[in-house]
Amino acid sequence: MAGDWNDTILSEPQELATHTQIPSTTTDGSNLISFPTEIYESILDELVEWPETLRACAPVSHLFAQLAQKLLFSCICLKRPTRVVNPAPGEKLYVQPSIGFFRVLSSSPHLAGYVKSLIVSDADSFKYANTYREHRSWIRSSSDHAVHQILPLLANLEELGLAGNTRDSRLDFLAWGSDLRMGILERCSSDRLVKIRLAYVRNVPFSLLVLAPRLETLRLKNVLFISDLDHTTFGRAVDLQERHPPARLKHVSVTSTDAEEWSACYAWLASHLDLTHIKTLELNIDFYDEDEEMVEEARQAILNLLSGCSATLETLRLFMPDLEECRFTFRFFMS
Amino acid sequence: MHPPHFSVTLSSPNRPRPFEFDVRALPVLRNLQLSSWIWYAGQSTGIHTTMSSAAAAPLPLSALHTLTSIISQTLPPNTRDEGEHDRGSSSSSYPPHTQLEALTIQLVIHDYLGMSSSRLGWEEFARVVEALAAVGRMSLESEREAIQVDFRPMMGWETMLGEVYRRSVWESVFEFVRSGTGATLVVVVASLLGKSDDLVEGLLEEKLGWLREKGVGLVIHAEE
Repeated sequence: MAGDWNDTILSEPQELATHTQIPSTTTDGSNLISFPTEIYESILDELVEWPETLRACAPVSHLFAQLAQKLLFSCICLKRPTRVVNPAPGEKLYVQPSIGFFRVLSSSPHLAGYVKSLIVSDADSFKYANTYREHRSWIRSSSDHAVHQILPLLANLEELGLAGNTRDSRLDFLAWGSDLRMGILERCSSDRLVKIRLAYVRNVPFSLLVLAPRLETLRLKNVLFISDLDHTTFGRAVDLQERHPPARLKHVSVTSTDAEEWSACYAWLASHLDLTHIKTLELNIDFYDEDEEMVEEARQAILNLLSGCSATLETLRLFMPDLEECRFTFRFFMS
Repeated sequence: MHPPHFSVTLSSPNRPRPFEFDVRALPVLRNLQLSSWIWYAGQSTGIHTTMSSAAAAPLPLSALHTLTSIISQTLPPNTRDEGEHDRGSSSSSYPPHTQLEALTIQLVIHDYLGMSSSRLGWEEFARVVEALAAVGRMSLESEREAIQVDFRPMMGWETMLGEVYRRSVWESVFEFVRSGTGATLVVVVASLLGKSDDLVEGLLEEKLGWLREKGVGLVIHAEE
C-alpha cells in the first residue's frame, strides 16, 4: 500500500474543465508549454513502479494530483500488522494497514473509486516464519473490522486476491467473520470483477467463483475448495443457477501439490465455468500423493483441461517436477 | 481437422522420456514455457542436514530428460533430424500448426527449505551454470570427447552429482544444448536466500555468454 498519506495526495481533485492544461506561470513569468492531458498521463504511467516519485509529482497541480492518486491507489495490498520498533511515548505498538487504509478512504472517499486491485495478505517474511500461526491470522482477528468495511467501498474493483502464508496451515475462510465473508461474496458478485487470486487458503466455497459473472482470470495456488453453499457460508443461500451463462475463463493458473484437491477442483470448475476458451494456461503440478489411483485421476484432469481448451490455447506454461520421483509419467499424443 | 485427443501411457522402460508433448494438438499455441528443476534442495536428506549433504544431492535426471524430450517435439521441422520427420509423417493429415513465437525453457534452482542460510549459494550456482556452459561448448566439438574431458575440471561439482547420475545427466545436457536452437529464451530462475553480489553475477554473465552466442537468450532472475 502506498505509504504516508499527506494532504496533497488525499485531497479531492478539482473538476478539470478541459482536457488540455492551461499553461502555468513560472517564477520568472514565462509560461510552461501546455500538453494534452493524455501526454501527462503517459508520463506518469511510466512512474507506476516508483510511488515516491508519484507522491512527489502530486503537489504540482490538481491534474497531477489526480493522475498520481489513480496510480498510487490502483493496486492495494493489505498486509498483516507490523510492530513499531521503539515506539515513542503514546505511539501505537502496531501499524495496522487495513485500519489505516479504511481511515484514508473514510476521509477521502473519492480514492475508493481508483482501487482496481485489492489483495488481502497474511504472507510474511522468513524472519517471522517460526512464529506464524494461522489461527492468529490478522484477517480473522476480532480486532480488525476494517476489511469488510473497505470492500463495499471499492465499486470499481477488478481484481480481488486472498493470500495466506506458506507456513502453518492455510488461511481458513470459514473461520472469518460472517461480515467479511459476505463482503467478499458481494464484491465477487460485481460485474466489474474479472480476476480472482487465491493462495494458501482453505475451505473456500466454490460459489465464490461462480458468482463472478465476468470472471476471466483465475489464479489458484494451493487452495482447498468446499461446495458448502448453505447459510453457514455466507449467511444466505446461494443459487448457482442465477448466473447464466457461466463465466468464460481466459487465463487460468493452477498450482497444486494435492492430487485429490486438484481433481475435485477441476471437476467442479468444469461443470460450473466455461473452460473451453482459455488462452493462457499455467500449470504447476507437483503431486505428493502416494495414492496412485488418485494421481492418475489428477493427471486425467490435466489432460481433460488441455483437451478442452486446445482450440484457443495460445500460451502454455508447464512446470514439471522431478518426474521419476513423483511417478508423474505421461505422454500426450494425437490419436 | 481432427479433434485433439490426449491420452496417458507409461513411458518406455528402456528410454526414460516421461513427458512427451505434441504441440500439433494445440493449433494456435504461440508461447510455450517449460520449467523444471535443475537443482532442488529438497532432494537432500532433510531440512536440517548440513551443507555437505545438500551438496551430495543429485540433479534430477528425469527432469532433464523431460526437457529434452519436449524440446525435440517442439522444434521447428527444419531443425529436427530425419527420424523426427519420419515419426511425424504418420500424422500428416493434421493442418499446419502455427509456428511458435517463443519457446522458453526455465531451469529452476530452488535452494531454500527453511529460514536459515542458503544451502547451495551463489558460488555453487555459478559452478552449476558454468558446468552447463562448459559441457555445451565441448559438445560442439565432440560429444564423446567432451564427456571424458569435461569431467576433469569439475571435481567440485562431481561430488554434487554423484557417480551414478553423472554420465546420463551430461548426455541430457548435450541434448538440451543441441536443441537450444529451437528455444528463443532460456531462463535460469534461482530461488536463493539473500542477495546476489556483483562479483558472482559477473561470473555468471561470463559463463552464460556462450549460450547467448548460440542465439539462446538468457535471463538470470534471482529471488530472495
